[in-house]
Amino acid sequence: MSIYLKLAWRNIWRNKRRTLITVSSIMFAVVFALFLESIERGAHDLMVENMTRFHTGFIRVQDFRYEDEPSLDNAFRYAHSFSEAIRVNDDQIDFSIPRIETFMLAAGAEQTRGAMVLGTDLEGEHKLNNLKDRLTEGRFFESGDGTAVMGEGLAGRLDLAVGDTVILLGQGRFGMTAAGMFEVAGLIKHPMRDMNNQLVYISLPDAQWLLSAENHITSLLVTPTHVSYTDAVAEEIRSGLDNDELRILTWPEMMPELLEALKFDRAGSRVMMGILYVVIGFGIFGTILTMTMERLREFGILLSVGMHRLKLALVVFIETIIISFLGVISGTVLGFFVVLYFYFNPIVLGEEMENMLQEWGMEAIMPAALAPDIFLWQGLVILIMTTVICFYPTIKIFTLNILDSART
Amino acid sequence: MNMLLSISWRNIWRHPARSGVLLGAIIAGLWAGIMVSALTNGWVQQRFDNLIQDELTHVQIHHPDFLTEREPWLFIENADEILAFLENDERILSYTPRLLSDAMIQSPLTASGVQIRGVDTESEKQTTTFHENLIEGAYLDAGFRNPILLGAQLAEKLNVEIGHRVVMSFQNLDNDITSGAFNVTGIFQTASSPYDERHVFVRSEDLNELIANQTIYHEIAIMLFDESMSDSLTMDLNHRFDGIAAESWYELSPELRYITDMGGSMTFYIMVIIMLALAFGILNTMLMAIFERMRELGMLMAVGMSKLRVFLMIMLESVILTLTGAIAGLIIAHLNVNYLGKTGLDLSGVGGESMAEFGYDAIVYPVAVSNDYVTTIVIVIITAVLASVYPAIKALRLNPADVVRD
Repeated sequence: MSIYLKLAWRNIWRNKRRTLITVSSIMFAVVFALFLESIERGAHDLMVENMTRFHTGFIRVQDFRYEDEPSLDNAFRYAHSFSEAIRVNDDQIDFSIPRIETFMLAAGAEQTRGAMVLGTDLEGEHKLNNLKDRLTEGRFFESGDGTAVMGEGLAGRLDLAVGDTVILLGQGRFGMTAAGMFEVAGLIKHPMRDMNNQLVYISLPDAQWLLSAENHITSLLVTPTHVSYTDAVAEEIRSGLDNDELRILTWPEMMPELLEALKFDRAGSRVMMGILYVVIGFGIFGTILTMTMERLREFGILLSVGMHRLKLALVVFIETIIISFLGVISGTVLGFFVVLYFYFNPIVLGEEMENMLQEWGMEAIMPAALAPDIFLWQGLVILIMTTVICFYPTIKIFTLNILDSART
Repeated sequence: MNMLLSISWRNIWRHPARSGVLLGAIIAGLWAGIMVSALTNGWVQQRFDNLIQDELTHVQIHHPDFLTEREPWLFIENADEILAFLENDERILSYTPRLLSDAMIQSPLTASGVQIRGVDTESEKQTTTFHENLIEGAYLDAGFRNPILLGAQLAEKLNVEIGHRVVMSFQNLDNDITSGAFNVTGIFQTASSPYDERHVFVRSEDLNELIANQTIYHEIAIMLFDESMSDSLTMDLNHRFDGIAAESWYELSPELRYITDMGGSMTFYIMVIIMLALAFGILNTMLMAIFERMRELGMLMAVGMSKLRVFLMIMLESVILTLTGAIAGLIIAHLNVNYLGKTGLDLSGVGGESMAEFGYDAIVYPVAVSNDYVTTIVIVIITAVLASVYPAIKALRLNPADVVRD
């Protein structure tokens, strides 16, 4: 065995230039495949992160009845000890936000409009979706100071300015009448026109008082330290709670359409990946084929001086396998640095995109994802592809006509 | 020159396998480039159509303040004139007027905020495909009194079914709150559940009766024969009529623009990567081919062929090969795109099947634009020719005596 290895090894270095070209064609194939997949994954991760922060949050704890009947009657009891209880193992939990969410009528001096009232913890909201950056006028409320912050659109429709009073009217817990006067402390601009025309933020204690829901909230938003911990954290909370009337929802359950859209995109990228494989496959095949033809004379001579076809084929196969490994390993190393570079220096999308996304509180960038499984899979795929291509010289040796090849 | 041409030509056919590989690499590259852009076009186009045809349409007309204020009295005052103009404009495929209002919807269980869309059943059906989203019950034109369509999400939230009654309260033209009872006749489901939760559909005449004592419209939605004419139409409309604002889809829906633009940037980078991969493939194959021929080239020089001629010969060979490959690749890609354009590329095999339940087809129909062909061909030809320059220069530096000795 070792003699074949030795022969193969020597053959590889006998023609360094040829080896180098073949190795580099495999190496670049790996780099391109890695890069494409990392960019694609990175863009998707960012989209999930942005959409989740913007819309639903990552994990939501709520009464099991609330999903079907989002009424205050289905709020649940929330005390500080509760928040502590779910943070048993908090390496993976970043922070949590208690919220009361209900639909009420908001009235100015003459106008009345439907409004979505959110009683919440300001600091938490800001950490989740940069709420404070959306303030366009005035200031934010302090906890329990009886002031409100509302969407510019709604304020405009009610003819209210900072310092005016807004009346909130609706139904509290268990049919209690809820009515309260709030000073408008500030205005925010929400990028979604609908929300801008409907949102009223008040502090959580104010909302609990207004809606006769002392110590109750309708949902608790839990944010993990990374999107990928969502399921683990949800499971942990589930097992840590002794209240079986509570349901834990994760973002894929809350935004199935986002998940579906992502799947659709993934399917598309897989087609693109397939096309890339065809291109790099041809590149590798081209070099291997030319290499084989270049050596036909050599093979012919070896066979005519009495070398067994099987043994020659084995030597050549070992050679190509070594070359494949060299290519895949060097490609993975180079690819790692390329991906690393684009991980820290994401591709910046055009100015037009930037203007648009800024309003949404998102950055117009396309970062590369740095995930070990991408390296493993892409490396493996290219290795298998190369190995299959490497059967070509082996087959050629078995079918070689000695006389013809010696003549070239 | 003629001699060089015939030498090059013969050289190509003297090694059919080697030329074949080069041709193959070029054909594959061209095919890949065109397929990638055609698929992405088809993709973005399909999503675009899905969203546009459902409700948004190409162009919408409102009172200039309606979209921000949403007050009932901000209706289109000269609607009759505008509708008459639209009827006679050749760019327009169809149009439909709508009556809109924000309301509080109540069931025995709970209340929720919604936007009412009062539609003209006949023209709405011709203009948009929204009626295809109905999953249960009948559309508004089925002959019931005060019919209303609810989103599945909202029906569940309100705990109502077909045949139940809901009450909606909204402002009328005089700024008073007025209410009306509507009968649930149908349930719809679109791709977006937040949308389903916030929108209800009624007949515009039913809503009109409760809001005003004259026929009013807040929105006119227009579908065009060709999307690219939306800008010229909005300009004409804004110019011709006072007191209205006509806007095209991308002004109305920045999200849709985000998707379209994002799709564009994504394709661009994918194209760049695939083109780079292609360039390296061709470069490597060319390099291998030249190094294999060193002995032959050395021999040519030894018998007195000038370096310039050797260089020209190599370049001629690559140009001939590249052009042949480009033409063949173009034909294959064109046939492929045309074929898939008819049958579609089914993505359900690679994880696209789940979209079907949301009304999106998991089949993509590639659309090739002549621009993509041109760009791809230019890139492929430039890459292939450039890739042969380096080996050709390399060949110039050969010392014939050394090479022939190998």
